[in-house]
Amino acid sequence: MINVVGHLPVLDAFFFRNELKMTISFNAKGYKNMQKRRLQLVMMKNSQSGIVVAMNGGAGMRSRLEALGIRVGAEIQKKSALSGLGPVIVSVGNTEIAVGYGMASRIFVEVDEQ
Amino acid sequence: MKILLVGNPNVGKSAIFSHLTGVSVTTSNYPGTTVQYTKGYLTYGGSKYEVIDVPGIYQLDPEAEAEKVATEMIKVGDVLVNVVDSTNLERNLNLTFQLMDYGKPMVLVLNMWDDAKHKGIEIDAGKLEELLKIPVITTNGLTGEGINVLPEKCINALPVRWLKLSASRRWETIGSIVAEVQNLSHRHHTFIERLQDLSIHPFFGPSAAIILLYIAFKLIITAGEFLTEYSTGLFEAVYTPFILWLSRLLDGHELAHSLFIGELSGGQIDYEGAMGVITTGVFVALGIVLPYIFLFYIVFGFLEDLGYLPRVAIILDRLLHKIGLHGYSVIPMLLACGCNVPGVLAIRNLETRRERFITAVITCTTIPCMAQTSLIVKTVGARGGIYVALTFATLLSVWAILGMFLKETVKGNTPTLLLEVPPYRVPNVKLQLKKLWMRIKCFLKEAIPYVLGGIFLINLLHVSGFIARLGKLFSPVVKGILGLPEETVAALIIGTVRKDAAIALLEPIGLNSMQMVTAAVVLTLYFPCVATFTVLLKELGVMDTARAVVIMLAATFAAGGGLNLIGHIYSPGAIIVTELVLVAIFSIVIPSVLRPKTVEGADEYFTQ
Repeated sequence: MINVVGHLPVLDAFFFRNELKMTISFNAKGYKNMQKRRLQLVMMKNSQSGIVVAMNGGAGMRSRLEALGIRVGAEIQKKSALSGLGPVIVSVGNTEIAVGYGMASRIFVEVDEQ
Repeated sequence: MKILLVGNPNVGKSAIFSHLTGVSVTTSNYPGTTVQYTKGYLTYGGSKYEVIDVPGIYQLDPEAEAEKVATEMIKVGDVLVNVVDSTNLERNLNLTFQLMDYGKPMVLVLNMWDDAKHKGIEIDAGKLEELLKIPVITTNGLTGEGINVLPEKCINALPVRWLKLSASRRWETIGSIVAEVQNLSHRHHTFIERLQDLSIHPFFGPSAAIILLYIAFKLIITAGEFLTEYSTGLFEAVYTPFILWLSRLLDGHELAHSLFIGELSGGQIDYEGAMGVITTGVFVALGIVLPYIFLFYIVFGFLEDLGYLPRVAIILDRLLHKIGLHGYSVIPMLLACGCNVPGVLAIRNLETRRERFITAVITCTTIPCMAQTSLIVKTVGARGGIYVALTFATLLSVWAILGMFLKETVKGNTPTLLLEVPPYRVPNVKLQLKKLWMRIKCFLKEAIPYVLGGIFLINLLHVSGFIARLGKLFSPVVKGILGLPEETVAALIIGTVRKDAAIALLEPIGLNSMQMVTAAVVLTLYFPCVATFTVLLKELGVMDTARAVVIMLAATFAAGGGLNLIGHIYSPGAIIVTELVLVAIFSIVIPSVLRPKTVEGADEYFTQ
């Protein structure tokens, strides 16, 4: 069983808040004005793509997400999100997957931003 | 020899199973259609092989009930046929590698080969076979293309020899294999894909869902009214002469006449009021319920195969969290609108005991099956449309209040929604008709004996005077709390066998409109029919079923008693408004009274 209510993830997200604000400037050739930014899946804009960099959750949550193709290093695109705390719909590979808000807020994605 | 069909959910295992064995099983376009394993036999080269359709799994780490069943099954299989969705090769191969660890003979079936081609995905099957060292075939489950070579491959398959890999190494290996065999070509967005994006749009999605479900409901009711009118005419023209002839034949045999034919009013037959086994019994089953069942499964089958159900689940996720469930629970509930039995069976796809319990209780208690709905529309509808609206508004209020109550009281947690959303597929007409016929056949086989037997039983009890005595015994409850006449006890007894027959029994009692609504609500809530009760017992166990029954009775007395109390004073419209206000009040009161105060607010945020 996945521990969704556990205390650890709550603290994790709290500490990650600082990391969210942190942007990593990226000065490789050809990317002079591009910045890589880390954010929660729920914070992404619709139809924005990125690479999954972290999933903060128990082993259960991780393995469930991985079995569906959402894993660290995978390319992910946010298709849509229902309003409020509604689920987020992403596409990974050729699959569309609906991820509940709680879980989506613990998946961190690195995106390019101008 | 046992051949097992294993694979991710919604890759078409059941379709392949049907083609291999000739056994018809339900197929549709959402993950988790198959919850029980289905067995069939394949004859090839003179010998008989057992084929098992295993519920879909993403991995071999069982959490949901359906996954547990699958993992147990794999251990006893002789040959594993791993069915793979060609459009999702990478993800599907993850399970393939886990299956290879068992070292059993394996065959890889690249299903949905046509879909992959349309999507611009090219897979080199020969190369994949070379790399994995297991036989690979390509098929199209809907048409049956390519399945004919499967038996031969199964029989000749050799045990797999492969090194066990760690999870990260596995993904690496899969990545390199996919890179080698798969070739993607770019292509433009199709119309269907645009539709897909629109149906999960934050604004258009929910609006479309409301409109679509309303149209579906309206279509079933309107067409149902038309069909039942037609069927009544047909019964009068064809069946009445036969009954009258039989009635003359039975002249002098009082008992047999009243059991089978019931009361005739002056040479005419009132099919709803006669209460004979072959008059009312046959008419209720074939004349009223069958048309509605037929219409419901046409509409439902279409939405199911199109792939709309998972999208409803996504849209309703937030709402269902308010009653302690998540979006996926909507699938058992929608199935239950047709018949509660498949509804309860579908709770196996839910992960935790808490979700399963809440879904099962809410479904069995407040959702009337199509057979019952059709009779509510017919008998309560005869008193005016507002009374039908009141009946359903009451059930909906009980649904909401009961759900909010269970959310706060049932221990455990509701995990977040995580659901694969299948692409829309244009439903195949032939498959649709086959599925419709399967469901109607099932109804005819399961329902008719119960309807006829139930009415026979109740007539027997009537004649023996047992009902009258029982009516006296339960009078304080039925009359006192619910405000219904003693004769209603007969309907309550029959309701434990078949709900549609029970509502049909209300017609001759002579209730006023408000009592009619109360009786219809009570008959829905108080107890599931025997078929549903059996599966409930199997799925929940004795203790939880006992709890469920207590909850049902409490809901019955609250709703029935409430209607009785204010039914004399308020008009139906005012009662509907009152009920909505009650739901709103309870949504504030229940959490504030029942929720433990010590829990941090942050938790709520994450369980949502």
